[in-house]
Order: sequence, then C-alpha cells, then structure tokens
Amino acid sequence: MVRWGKLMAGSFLLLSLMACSPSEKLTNTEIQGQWLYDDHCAECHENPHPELRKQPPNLHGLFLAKALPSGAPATDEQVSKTIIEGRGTMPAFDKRLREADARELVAYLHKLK
Amino acid sequence: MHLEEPRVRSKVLGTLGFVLFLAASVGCASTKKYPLQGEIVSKNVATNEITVKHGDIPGFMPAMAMPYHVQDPAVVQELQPGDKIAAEGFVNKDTKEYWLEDVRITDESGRSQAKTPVAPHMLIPGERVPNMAFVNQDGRTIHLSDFAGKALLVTFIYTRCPMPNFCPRLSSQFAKIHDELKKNPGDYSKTHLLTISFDPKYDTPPVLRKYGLAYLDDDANGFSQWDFASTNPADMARIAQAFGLQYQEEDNQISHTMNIVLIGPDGTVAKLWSTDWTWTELMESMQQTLHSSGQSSEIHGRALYGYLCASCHEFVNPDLRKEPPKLHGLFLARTCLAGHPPLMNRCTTRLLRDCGPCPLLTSL
Repeated sequence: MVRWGKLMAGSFLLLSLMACSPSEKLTNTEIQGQWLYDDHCAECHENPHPELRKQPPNLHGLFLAKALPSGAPATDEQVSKTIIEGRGTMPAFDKRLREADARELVAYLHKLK
Repeated sequence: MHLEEPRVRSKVLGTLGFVLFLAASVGCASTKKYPLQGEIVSKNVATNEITVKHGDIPGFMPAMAMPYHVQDPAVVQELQPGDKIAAEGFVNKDTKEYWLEDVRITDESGRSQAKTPVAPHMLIPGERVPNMAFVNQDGRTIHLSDFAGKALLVTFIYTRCPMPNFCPRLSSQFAKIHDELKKNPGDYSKTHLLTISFDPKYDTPPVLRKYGLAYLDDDANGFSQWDFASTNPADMARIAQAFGLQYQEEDNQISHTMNIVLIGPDGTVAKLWSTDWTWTELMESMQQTLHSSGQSSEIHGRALYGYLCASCHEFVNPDLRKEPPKLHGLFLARTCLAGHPPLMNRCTTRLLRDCGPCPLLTSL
C-alpha cells in the first residue's frame, strides 16, 4: 500500500510538471515583458499560423545564440529595433509599443529559455 | 503486493495512462476560451455572423470591431445592432478558427441609437467599378483603368497589422497566388494583384515598398504584377464604401474587416469575398473570369469606357455646363457627335480632337 501511495504521489507530481513549466522568479520589468510577450508576440512566435509566408521563429533561447534568426547580432538594441521597426514580414510595432515596452520585452526574452 | 504481479502491473499501467491522459488534456488543450464583452455593430443572418466592437482581450484579440461566427442561428436572429453583449470567445489553436458561444444580451437600450453600418452603395457583382487613383510603392500614381483588360484581385491591409489571421494572412495568400501565376506566363501577364493600405499616414510609398519586398522575396520585378498602394483618407473612405470595407482607428491600431474584390477584364465586379476563402479559390476565380471574358479589344474598351467615360456619359451631372451626350448607339447614327460621318477611326480621332469639354478625351 505504501508503494502504491508513492506511485500515486509520483504520478501526480509528473502531472503537475507536465501541466506547468517550472518558472524562475522574474523581476517586475520581466513580468511586464511577459505580459507584453503574451499579448503581442506569442500568437505568432509560439504557434505560427500555417498560412504565413514566412514562419516566425521561436524566440526561446534567443539571446543564447550569438546571432538572431535574421543573422543580425543578438543584442538588446537590435531586438528593440526589430520590435519597433519590424523586419521582413514581421509588422512594425511602432506607435503601439513604446521604447520602454520594448525594453521590458527584451528583459523577458533574456529569461525565455 | 509486488509490481511484477500481472494484475497489479496492469492496474499501475492503467492509472499511469489515466494520469498521462489527464496531463495531456490539461497541458495541450487546443481550444481556449476567453470572456468577451462588446457591442453589436452589424449582423449577417445568412452567414450566422455578428460584428462586435469590443475592448482588448489579452491573448485573444486586441480592441477592434470584427465579425465572429455564432454557433446558434436563433441567437443571431435575436441580436440587434446596438445591443451590448457578453459571450465566450473560443479559439482553436490548431485550426486558428474562432467563434462565439453563450452570447447573452446585457443591455438592449442602445438598439434605437444604433447607426446603420457604413455602406451607402456597396458594389455588387456585375457593376462597373469607378476609376480610382492610388499612389504605389514607387510613388507613382496608378489608376484602376491601368489594369483594364486584366483580371485584377484587390485587397486591403495596413502594414502594422499584428493579427496573423488578418493582414499577414491576406498578404501571404496573395504572395502564394503571385507565385503560382508566375509559373504560367500567359496568365501572369493578364492578371494583376493590388494591395491597398487604409493607413496612408503610416504606409507611405517607402514603407509599402519594404512591405511588398518582404512578400516578393526581395524581387522588385514582382511589382510589375503586384502593386502596394494607398490614397488620401477621403478617397479611401469612398473606396471602402464601394467595397464594403469597414475600418476604424483606435488606440494606434486599426480594427477592420477583411475584403477581397475581383475585378474582371471588363472593369466590372466579378466576385467579392469577406469571409471563407482559400488562395486556390481566389486564383481559380481569377483564371475563370479571365478565360470566360476573353481578351478581345472590345473587352478592354468596355473596361476603359466604364472607368473613363461612364461617370459622365451614363450618370450625367446636372451642374455641368454642357451635358455629356449618351454614347449608346453612337455609330448607328448617320453622323457622329462631332458632326462627322461615323467611320470609326476617323470619327474617334475627330472626337478626340474636337470634344473640348471632355477632359479625358483631350488628355488621351
């Protein structure tokens, strides 16, 4: 019975691990960035529409590589510029997001592994 | 008890299967639900759709007015423009479909004040399209009459549109059509794509050029068959009315409907789409209208007449100093308008020379 209980407990632990990914503690800026990411970026970058001309890249681990998917250097400035001005088929977020918003997004993207 | 015992092992495996099933249904559900509150702008009983103006719904839709499919037709019958509603918005992450369920009227006091949707005269298939001018991605003025004799597919976007289901999808579909038409030089030269921005303040020619190149894989030669253009806000409003396009700027973003218009080689509306199409259907309709209308010089002339002449000679403006004459049966008369014998070339040439009040003829 003890083993059965352990097995059940282990199963529910597995269930909780599968349903929710472990999250490290985020700063307020990163949390703001996460909200912006969920609102403005996730729809394309997490689950791209199959009919899009060019599939938007996944942004997890964006800053772990030296270069962005476009080949440009993976710097905060370059990513902020891409967010505000757009690039290729990615629309510009100019007027909709301010530079401060872009900074918060960049802070969160650093944590998005 | 021991795990090696078959009865126990099957019980454990069964439980693990159930747990994994539960995990899959919790972690990977493909349909998400979002509460929505808004106001009915219009409804379409034929398609079971309501256009709802609503605020920002994080993760689902930004603030906008857009059409939603409603599962229950009886609900669409009951709803009226001006009604405030609450509903559950559903989106299928796999198929990208979205719809409303559990639509409830929360306030119907706005019914009498509801405005009629802006469409005083929306063109219908078979109607002549008035000539319209735009400035394209190269800063050059283009007219619909430039495409007389071609199958012209027109749609409307704004380059900053962040909704993948809207403008990016439209432009992606047009890019696919462009790719396919290009494979058949015969059709390619007789067709044209026109993407019109309803955000002329932001979408200047250089912005449109950059946007267009992204969908043309940086091949600027593609602009010969696909223009990206805009016009001034007043003309844009007139064009929107003609094609049933609705758009409204709010909080630096534009809520809008999606509309596609196919103009035949004769300059009349061949087909209109505002929902439910595929790029293959659009392309096949282009090819059908092209092949069914033929490529005679009369077809080309009919389109030019519609674009350049009909607005004066068919619908005479009573304020004009000299009333432009009807041109029907022009060559059946013994003399043409300028008093010359109705020999086609001679008469037309003299008309061009003598017809002073007609600005188009003198500029041709």
